[in-house]
Amino acid sequence: MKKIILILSLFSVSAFAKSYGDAGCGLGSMVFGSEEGFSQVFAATTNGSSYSQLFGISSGTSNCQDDGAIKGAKSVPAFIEVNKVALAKDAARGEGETLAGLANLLGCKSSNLGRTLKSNYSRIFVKTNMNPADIEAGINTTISANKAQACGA
Amino acid sequence: MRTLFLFFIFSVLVSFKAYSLEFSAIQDLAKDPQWQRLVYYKKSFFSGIESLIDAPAFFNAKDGKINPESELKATFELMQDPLADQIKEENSVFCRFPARVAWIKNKISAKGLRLNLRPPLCPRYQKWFEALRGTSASLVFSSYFLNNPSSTFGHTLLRINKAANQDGKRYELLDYGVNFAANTNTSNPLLYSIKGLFGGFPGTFTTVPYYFKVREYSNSESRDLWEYQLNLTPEVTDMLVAHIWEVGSTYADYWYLSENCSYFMLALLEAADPNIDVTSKLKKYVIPTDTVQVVYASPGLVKSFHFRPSVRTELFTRLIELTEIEKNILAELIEERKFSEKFKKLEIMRRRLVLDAAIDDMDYLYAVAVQKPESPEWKFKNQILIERSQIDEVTSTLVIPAPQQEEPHAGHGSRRLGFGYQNNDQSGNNLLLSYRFAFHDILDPFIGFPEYAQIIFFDLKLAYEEKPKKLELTEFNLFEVLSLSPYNQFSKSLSWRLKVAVEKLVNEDCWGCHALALSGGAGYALKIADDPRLVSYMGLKAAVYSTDRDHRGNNFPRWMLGAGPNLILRARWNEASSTVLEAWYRKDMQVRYNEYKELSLSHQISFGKNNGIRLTGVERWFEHSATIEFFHYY
Repeated sequence: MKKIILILSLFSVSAFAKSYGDAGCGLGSMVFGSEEGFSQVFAATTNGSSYSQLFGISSGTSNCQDDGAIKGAKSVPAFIEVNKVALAKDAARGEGETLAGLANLLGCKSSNLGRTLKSNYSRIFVKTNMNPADIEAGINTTISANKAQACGA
Repeated sequence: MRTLFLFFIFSVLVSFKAYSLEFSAIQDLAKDPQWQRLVYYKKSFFSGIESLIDAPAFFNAKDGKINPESELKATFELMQDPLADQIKEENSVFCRFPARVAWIKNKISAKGLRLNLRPPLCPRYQKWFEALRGTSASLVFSSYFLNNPSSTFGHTLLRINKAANQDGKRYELLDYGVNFAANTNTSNPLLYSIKGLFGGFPGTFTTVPYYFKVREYSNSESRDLWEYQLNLTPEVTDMLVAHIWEVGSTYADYWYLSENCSYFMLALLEAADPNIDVTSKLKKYVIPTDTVQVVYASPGLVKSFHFRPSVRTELFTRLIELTEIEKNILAELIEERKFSEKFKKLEIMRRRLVLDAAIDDMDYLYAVAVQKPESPEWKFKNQILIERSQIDEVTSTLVIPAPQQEEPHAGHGSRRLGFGYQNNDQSGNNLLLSYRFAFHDILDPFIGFPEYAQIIFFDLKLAYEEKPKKLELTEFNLFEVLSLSPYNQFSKSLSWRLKVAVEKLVNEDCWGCHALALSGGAGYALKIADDPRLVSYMGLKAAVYSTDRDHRGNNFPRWMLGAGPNLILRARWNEASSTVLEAWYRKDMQVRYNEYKELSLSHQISFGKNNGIRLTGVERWFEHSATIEFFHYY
């Protein structure tokens, strides 16, 4: 019996330790939840206590936040981390609200950025396995290679 | 020389007096409604007056929670501390309560008095303030999410709207949202319900980048968002942000039905602007739509509203553009997860439309799985995205007008009162009285609610019966949900229902005795002839009944289990009338009268959004009845 409990507890620990490739701000997996099906019914994704720890006002400093507000220097990484799916979608299509938001954060024109991300789609989103840090690096590299065209700034 | 000396003493005394203001000069401010709002004072049933905030740190006076004057005095004295500028930011009244301080200062200068203050710098607060700061705010309502009980009635938050950029554009996703929610620490459903209903969880305010909320609601929970832009000036918005910082480090007991997310959003607005008067218009127990309706009805408060569709709504809009053949190709694409020959043969512009729809479809069906790299869903979605990126044409922004029939501010009142007459072949001519706390059934006026959902909370039905003359509890419905999802190529969800109620039972031991009934069912719903107004549902419905008395009143605890097919047909003829036909055949265990048959036909004609007449005919194996009821929603 003890063995079974031990094995079961190891299983549950590893299930919780699973992250979806975001070592950055820890926001990505929180948005989309880590539970599916019936257990999500009471997981209270929008009302959980870990949520208030991360976004609590005057909650002090964490990796990416100061008192619940995203740190200036982390605004791009946090944005990419949380919005990567929508960003990839907008990039494939060449336009979208999420893409425009990123363009604003980067100081670029969204039409330029849209065309650039679309034509470099595979390199930025596929080859990086949707890892937010790599996506960011990919975008930065692409922009710095040809700022006028890629960014329009 | 002496006169000079006396003059010197006099001027020192005068300047000392001018340096610190007496509390008596501003004592009347303690009764000012705005002070009451800033510190959340409410008339308390027991002790006169009490603040809703429960964290001790929110009060500067020991008795600050129950004494507005004491709290004002303590705050004021801290402001006037001559050594105030040497106090650390975390302990300074200026940095912890910027809104209160600003309000007191404004009131004092309005009285023509002078204050000499020595505030310290508040770098931490300033940094946060600049990050959030905006020029106006919006009240955001997210629609009902039946899969999560705390979101059954929707949810509201505030969004601080940042000023437009140099290019004149606004980037809403980069705004901050303000949320009030319970910190739940249990997933035990019973504990969750009890604690949630009775203030057992602390509620806290959080500030979240709006993009985070959009991803949560639209993407992973497929909830539409309704954003009501409020008429706030930049000055009021600054006060609002400052006040959010004040309450940010506190907590208030979260009461699901009263001091909940939607109540506090309105309270925040009132604390920032004396011209806003909304909470006084609320009933004691509120749910999010109540607050949306009150805000919308408040003259001049709402400038405009905007609809932000969920991924599901976007998908269904894209599907309208596709032909039947293209829809079949799309369905096959999603199912088989490969690009068929038929797909490849499509003209490039049509292929683009199919791909755009396929992207949304994957997000809708596999919201969580598409996040996990290396999952088959993620892999296939990537293939779709790569295909799409190779088609040059940029997708034009999907413009989805707000669905008029779902406007939350246009819905009927959440409460319902009913009076009626029933002719029953067993009990005779009966008078009916019913009271429902919340929310909506599929015969109620349909504007403002999701078309196929029924959510009922505390519905009490009484009858004054004729034979024999007595007042009878017909039913007490604690909680009922019916979620119909019409099945089609792209939406294959199960329809389901759940109900917890006290009902009347009829079998050999219990002729009309009251039982605690837990029933549930699942099945499939279909639009008839593809018309959204006609829907049918067929499923299995099971119930467990628990009784402790027989019909003679003797102690006779027993329980009973039964199940059987359940059918619903609903036709919504127009905006004001609907008909529902429902049937349930149930085979019961443990009793001799073990076949329960019920057939009911109901028709409602509504007058405006808050009144209606309902005619119902019910046939059960032990009784027939015809009813006419008048309903008033408020």
